[in-house]
Amino acid sequence: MMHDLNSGTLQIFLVEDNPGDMLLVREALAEHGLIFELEVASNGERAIEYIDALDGDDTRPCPKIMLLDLNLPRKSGEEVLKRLTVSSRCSGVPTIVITSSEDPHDHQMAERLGVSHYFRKPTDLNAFMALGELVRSLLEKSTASGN
Amino acid sequence: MFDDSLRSILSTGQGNTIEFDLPGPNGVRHFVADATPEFDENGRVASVLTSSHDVTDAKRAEEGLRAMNDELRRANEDLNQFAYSASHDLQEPLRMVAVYSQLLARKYAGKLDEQADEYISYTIAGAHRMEILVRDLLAYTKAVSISDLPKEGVDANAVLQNVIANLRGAIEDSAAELVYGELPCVKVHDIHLVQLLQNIISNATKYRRPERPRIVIGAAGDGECWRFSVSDNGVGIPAKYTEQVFGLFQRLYSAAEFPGTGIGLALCRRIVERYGGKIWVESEVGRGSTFYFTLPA
Repeated sequence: MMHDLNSGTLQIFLVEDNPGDMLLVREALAEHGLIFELEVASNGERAIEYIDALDGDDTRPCPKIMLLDLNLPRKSGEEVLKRLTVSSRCSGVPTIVITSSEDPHDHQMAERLGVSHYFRKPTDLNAFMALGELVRSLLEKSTASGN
Repeated sequence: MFDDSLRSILSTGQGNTIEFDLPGPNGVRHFVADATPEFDENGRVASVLTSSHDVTDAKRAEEGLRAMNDELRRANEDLNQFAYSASHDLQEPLRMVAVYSQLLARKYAGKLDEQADEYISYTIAGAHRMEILVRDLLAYTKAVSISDLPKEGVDANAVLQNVIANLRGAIEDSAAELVYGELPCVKVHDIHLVQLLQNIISNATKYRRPERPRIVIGAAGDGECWRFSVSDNGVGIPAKYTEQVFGLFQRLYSAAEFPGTGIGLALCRRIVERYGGKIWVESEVGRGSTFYFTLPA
């Protein structure tokens, strides 16, 4: 189904355990004019339960994009990504990893598991706000391709 | 034990040394015995001269020294690990302070009173300075975490081109002229040579006089080493500080005059000494400095 970014509310799924970063993500999305509803899971286990629930209920709407931290309590971001790749309904959802990790292994793992973009959490506010632009452009791309 | 020693001397004609322990009134004593053959006119072993020495004290001192060395090495490793973890784990809370102070400024600058704006600006500046400190401290502790020696040499010409690309902003801003010829290959990890040249060249663009900086990079053979030199026409370093500048957190200027963390040259020294080399500076205030360092060929 085609989706116009400027009409209606976007469903966005955020997996993040740091309340400070949750708020920054909201700021970044709002700054780029996105109207969104944010579903937040504060640990990896809840994120996997959310994907399980979506797979088990066709009537629930899938998120348009997923934003995922890697270093999470209970289940890691890597485990969430692995679950996502075998999801019957969410495997095609564009995913942005949002992390402080500089470890090249994390970057390679994210690429291997089909992540659309690897966003390093910056200390500069403008650089963090650019996340909103990144989300917007990924959504536009995904809308154009009819996903 | 003595029988074996004697048998060996009789069959080979060569002296030997054996170590043995004997019980004493205050515990076991350690001895070393040298057995030397004496020959008759036909070249056969006629007798064996044996002399024994009590080496208990020397042995205890040696064991004590080894234990102390092990303890020191462990303490050093722990300290490095602590410094690395501390600076690594500092990054996350620091990022929160940095980003949120900027957000506070963006949303509320001009809406509070003048004093509040000033407080916020100091918070932002402090967080930024801390960020640079943590980054440099991490680089410093990482420099010693690579424990193996490289198998291959690294081409200093290629490393210099990387460094010039990394410092493009600073070189362009200062309009620095870089002069260099052919550089050698050296047996170090390339990241270490990058850090060395980058810190010294970056300093040369920073601690400049009003005139255009001229930085000359060269290398000359020095026995089994190469001696690199980086000369500049900058502000120079007073003679009494030419050793101190290589100390951790040592700075000659206030942040307002020349910003910095006092880690760069300490990092350079740590890298060079890791490879058994030396680093030093010759300088004249108002004329410039030449930094020298040696690395294995």
